[in-house]
Amino acid sequence: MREEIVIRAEGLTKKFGSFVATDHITFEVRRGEIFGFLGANGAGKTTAMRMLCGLSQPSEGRAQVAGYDVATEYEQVKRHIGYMSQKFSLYDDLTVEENLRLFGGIYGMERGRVEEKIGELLGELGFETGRKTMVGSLPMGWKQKLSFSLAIFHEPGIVFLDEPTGGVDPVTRRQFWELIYRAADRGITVFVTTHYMDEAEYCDRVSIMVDGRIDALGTPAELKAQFGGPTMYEVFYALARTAKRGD
Amino acid sequence: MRKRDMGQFLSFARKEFIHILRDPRSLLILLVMPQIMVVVLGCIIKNEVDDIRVGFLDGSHDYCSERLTRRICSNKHFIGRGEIGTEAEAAELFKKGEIDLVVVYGSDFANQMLHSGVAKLQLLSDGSEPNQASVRVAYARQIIADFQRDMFSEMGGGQKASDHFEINVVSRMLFNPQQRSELNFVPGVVGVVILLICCMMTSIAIVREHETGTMEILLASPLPSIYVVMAKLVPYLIISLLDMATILCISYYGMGVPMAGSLAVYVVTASVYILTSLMLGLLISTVVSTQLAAMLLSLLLIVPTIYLSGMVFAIESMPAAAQALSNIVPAKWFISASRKIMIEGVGVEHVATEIAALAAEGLAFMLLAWRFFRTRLA
Repeated sequence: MREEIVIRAEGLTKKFGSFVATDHITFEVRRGEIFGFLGANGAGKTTAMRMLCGLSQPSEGRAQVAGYDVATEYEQVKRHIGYMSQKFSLYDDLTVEENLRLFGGIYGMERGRVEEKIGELLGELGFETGRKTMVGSLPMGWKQKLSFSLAIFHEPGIVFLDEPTGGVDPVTRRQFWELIYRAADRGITVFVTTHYMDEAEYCDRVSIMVDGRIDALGTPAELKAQFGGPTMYEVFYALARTAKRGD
Repeated sequence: MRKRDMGQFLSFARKEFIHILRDPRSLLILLVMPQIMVVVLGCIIKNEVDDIRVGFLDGSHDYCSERLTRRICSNKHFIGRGEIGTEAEAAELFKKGEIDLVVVYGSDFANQMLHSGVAKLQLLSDGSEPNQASVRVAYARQIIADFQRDMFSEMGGGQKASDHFEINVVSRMLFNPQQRSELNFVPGVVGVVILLICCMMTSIAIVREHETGTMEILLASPLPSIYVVMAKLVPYLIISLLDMATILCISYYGMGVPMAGSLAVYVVTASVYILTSLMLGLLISTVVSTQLAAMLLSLLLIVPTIYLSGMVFAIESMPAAAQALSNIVPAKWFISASRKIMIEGVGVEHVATEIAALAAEGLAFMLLAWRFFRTRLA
């Protein structure tokens, strides 16, 4: 199978005044891959991700996402990706169905297609009964799963997840990762940041950022061999310890 | 806007309406409070405009002046009190409280009207009751305007330009040359309500998206960020117009507040004011990051509006510094223009300054907001 590159960053850099938040990072992500983007707080993950999503302009370097340049063709980039932020981001005072319709509308999907997709999605989640429930009254786990479903509702080629499982219990996290696998099986590339090292083990490849740079990049097995640790936690700890920046 | 973008825009604007309709507190502030404010203020400031005792100072005694006198006396709001000899006599009657309004015809009234095209007429009112006085004058003006129109059509509808004539009405308040009028309350309430809705509710609505994190998701969508902001303004624009309409109806039908000038000019002026206020709300939303801060900043703007707009205190009697400062309060321009249109009944050319000032401020707010918005995203 030909391996197609869907994200390519070359020397991608973001400076805020004299502070270099993201420092010349270079990496590639292949179609259908689950790519873990790791790093301690303040290592520059979110800044890098915002640049890749077309939300922020790079100071130096370049990046292509889904074949479009993030600096110049960000409108096209936005059309071809899904995004789920750290903060839970559905509207509490809208029903499940209304939230889905809203985002379908925002992404310019056909009305009929939206209704079809809503049926499919709720069926897949086993959540048909929740169609008309206000999102505000749902348990956290459901909200999270819905947020993810929403991020891939318009069938993007790539989905960016910024710490998607913060604050949920291990069982829900496990279920959440099953959704991620299912999406990857359908050919959606998943770019995910996380603090949980067990989640890093689920990824096809991971990168670890320290002080704005990518200090390690490879499959979890490769990194464990390279840094001589039995788990990803040891690998991460060994690298994160070298950080000069405080939290 | 392309068709696809329009659909995206509309689905977003629809969502804004749902937010408002599902929040009882918002609904109360947006669609109940303004009307209650007008009714309460209207009850405090009574406008008893019936049984207006009117006298006539007629030096002409011609066909036209006597016809107009009869017409005013037969109106249900007026009680004719006959002829008055001199202006001094009129002042005496005002002091004794025996009369409410005096109509003074210019000399040679009919002749002036039919031949030179301009006839002079003065309305004297008692300025010690400025509120009622304004209403009385407004009623009289309406009758005079009707009279003028009827005369005009009797003369053959003006095929020739030289057939045009008008009655030049000047109103003067005795005992209160400043013409300070408590009748400001409707223009004032509309001014404050619009500011409240457009600045406070709008800025809160935008900042809420930042606070809940949904703004990130919206900005990551292909919906251009300018549409995100514009779509948030649409419901507040509609609600403001709705409030303006209901307040006008309540005050016109329920409280006898006049609409002496053109309703169309008023609606245009109010729309410009609404847009300016929306831009101010947008500007507020770009400089604060929490809903609480947005509310406080809006309130900080509303307080000077109440004091500096001429709603409570006459601007003419303020110190020079405060007068200068009042020029940057958008509500000052709006209240001044609406008073002119509603009470004095002037045409659009007399409120052009106000409309231009409002539009200029709106534009300035918009440019500033856009600048801050861009910086925030970068």
